[in-house]
Amino acid sequence: MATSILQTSLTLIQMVCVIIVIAYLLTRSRYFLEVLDGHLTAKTKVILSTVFGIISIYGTISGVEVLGAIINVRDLGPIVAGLTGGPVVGVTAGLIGAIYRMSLGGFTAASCSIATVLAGFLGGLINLANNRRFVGIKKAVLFAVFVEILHMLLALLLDRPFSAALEVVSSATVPMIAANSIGVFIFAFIIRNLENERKTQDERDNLLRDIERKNTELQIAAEIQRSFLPDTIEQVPGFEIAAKTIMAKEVGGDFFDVMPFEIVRLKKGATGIVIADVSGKGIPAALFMALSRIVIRVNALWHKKPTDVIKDANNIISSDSKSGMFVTVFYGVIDWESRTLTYVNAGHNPPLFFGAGNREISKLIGTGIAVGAMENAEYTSCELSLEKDDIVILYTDGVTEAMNQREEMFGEERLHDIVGAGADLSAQDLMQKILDQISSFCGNQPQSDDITLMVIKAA
Amino acid sequence: MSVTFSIENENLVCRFPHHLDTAACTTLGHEILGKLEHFDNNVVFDLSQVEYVSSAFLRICLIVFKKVGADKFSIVNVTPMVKKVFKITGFDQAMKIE
Repeated sequence: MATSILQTSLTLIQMVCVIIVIAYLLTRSRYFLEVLDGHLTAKTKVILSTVFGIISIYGTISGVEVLGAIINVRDLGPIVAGLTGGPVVGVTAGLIGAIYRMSLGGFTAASCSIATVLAGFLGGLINLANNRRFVGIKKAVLFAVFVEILHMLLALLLDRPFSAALEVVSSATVPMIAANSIGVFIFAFIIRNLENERKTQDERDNLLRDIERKNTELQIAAEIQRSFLPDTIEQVPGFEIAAKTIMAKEVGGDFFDVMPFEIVRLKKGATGIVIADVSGKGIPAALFMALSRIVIRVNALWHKKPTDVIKDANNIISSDSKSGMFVTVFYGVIDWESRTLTYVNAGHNPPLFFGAGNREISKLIGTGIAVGAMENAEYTSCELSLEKDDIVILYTDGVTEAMNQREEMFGEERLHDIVGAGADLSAQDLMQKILDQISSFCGNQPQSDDITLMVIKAA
Repeated sequence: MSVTFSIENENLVCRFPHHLDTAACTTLGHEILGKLEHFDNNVVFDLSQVEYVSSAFLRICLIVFKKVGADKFSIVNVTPMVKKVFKITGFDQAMKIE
């Protein structure tokens, strides 16, 4: 007795395994994708009907005797056929299974065969009622339960002698419901996984399209912005000016670059020099820099005194600054005639001043807080006389904080040394020399910050 | 290592790790602002362990400074290197730095 239960259980498990394999292979085929869409071609309908018909036949063949009744999953094929393919597919699969069953005979032949065809037909109706979409695991399993109960009722109705039919039904009902429900559950589960996979794929495709579009927009923005940049540096009579920015390339390509320096021709024989560095990286920093540049440029054209320029610029930029963003700015006005540099240093790296007379380097230290940090901040200015061959070096911390592989920084001392040694070079050559030294210092270490350098030499 | 918070004499003391680059500061701001949600007393930034600050950290200082006010915010135990950064940017003119 015990062995027979074990034997039966093993056979049932084997049956379930076969169904799992068939279900998996079937739903992985490209024909099955049409089921998910709800549009089946004629060819697919034929294939599905055939395959589920064969599953129905397998259901009959693999029937197991439990307590005198043959437990089988013949109805499984047509049920799933109807639920996934519609009434035509369901009925066809049902007929295939039914014809085979009829050929075997027996007093339950009629009820079994009719039940099998009905299973396919009713499943198909459910599919239609649900807009040709699969109804999901819960409803599918409930339907399977319903079909088997129907099957048993048909047996009681049609099979004679009644007493034999009653006996079969009483012992077979529960196992039949169980077996077919499990089979439908397996199919429904695999179909549900397939649907989820498809949804994820669609979402991924949408995201990829979005990224593609955004990259294109960024490229266009960078193109437009590049077209605004002057090709040549504005020159000041009596001075040599060289300036360059080398952007650090972020991972993923070009960003919206904004040059952090300006040379603004002011009225009446004066030129404004701006060098700036914004706190942060990426697009938000670039936009903040663009805003700051414009505000400073407008104020530079409006006010004569550098302190007024920076004071007003700071008030405007502070009111727009969210999340603590600020920009360090060095703003100086070179007067052509008097050859003086009047400047405000708002939090920026102190530019170097090389005096040709005593060949000494001093720093143009800060005269106020960085711009955008505090509204109504006060600024003072300093005035510097520029004699022949005097040099002013303006830079951002990308220069002094440039790192090599040993994590050493380029530093101020090295910069001082190069300027001291190269003081007799032209502004352009000196600038290039400094950039070359930084480059060879860093070696293969990738550039982590933008490097901006401006050299002004009095002729 | 990340920032640690403690309450000392009813003040919120924030101790920071030694390298405050941009990456380290990304969530720091939100963390600190979270602590300040219902806090009314003084806020102290202890930088005794800090050897490098990026502009991202300066931004955090600025945000907290503006939120709690000049009287309730101070930065203490600053190393010379770090003090230099606050000096150059002019932040030491606005904030209490020791």
